[in-house]
Amino acid sequence: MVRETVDSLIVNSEFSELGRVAEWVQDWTRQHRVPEWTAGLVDLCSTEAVTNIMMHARSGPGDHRIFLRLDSQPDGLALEIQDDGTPFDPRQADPPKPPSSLEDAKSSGWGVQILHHFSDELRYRRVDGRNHLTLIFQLRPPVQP
Amino acid sequence: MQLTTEPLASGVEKIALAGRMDIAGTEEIDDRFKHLTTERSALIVVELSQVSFLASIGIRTLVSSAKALARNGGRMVLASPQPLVGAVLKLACIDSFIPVYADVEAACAGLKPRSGEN
Repeated sequence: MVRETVDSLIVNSEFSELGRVAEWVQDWTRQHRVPEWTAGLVDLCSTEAVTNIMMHARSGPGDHRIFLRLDSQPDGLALEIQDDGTPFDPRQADPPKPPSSLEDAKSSGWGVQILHHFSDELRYRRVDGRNHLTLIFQLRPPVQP
Repeated sequence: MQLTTEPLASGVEKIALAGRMDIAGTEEIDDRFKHLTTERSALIVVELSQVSFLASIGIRTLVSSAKALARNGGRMVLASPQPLVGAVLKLACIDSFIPVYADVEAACAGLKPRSGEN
């Protein structure tokens, strides 16, 4: 079993833990002097990925833990998230269709799309019954919306 | 999250949101926001300058309220999102159907009756 270090965090699969995830990401990015825009992207994507696991990935009874780790890289950082829920490869998820009207606009399903759009690379592996999702972020200034 | 309301000129109402619009934050304001936006016809500017974070759960709140408001003959526009919040709105194509303005003044101008409306 993986252990928690200064660069990692283990949370229960419960929405009440999302605040700890955000605090940990914000502390880590501040300590590593990650530019504000990139830090915001990591905050957003970590929340979306962990929320998605909490909502959809529970598999069987018992406690489920989610493991997160941040690593500095030469030009950016990597966020790794592991869980023992049902297999889910976000690279295979269909993006929501662009709506043609307000009534047609989807009010859900944007979480995975946020991961694709706001990270620079998304990797996925299923190893020993665990999902391993890795998001790569390059350090760069804000991109205009 | 914080939610405050303020009546503006021409019958427009401003709803100012502040904080992180994640699951916890959205739950804090959801009932009041829905009450203000879905149970009547109104012209509403949602001011987002103090919203530091918009997750997909927040998109759900904005879209469902805008739909309900439109069904009742009202309209919602958004004003002054921070850059990353604006980028999330654009990704979800929200800005195509819930107009987004740089500030509250422009948003109010955008809510003026359309041609043919009383």
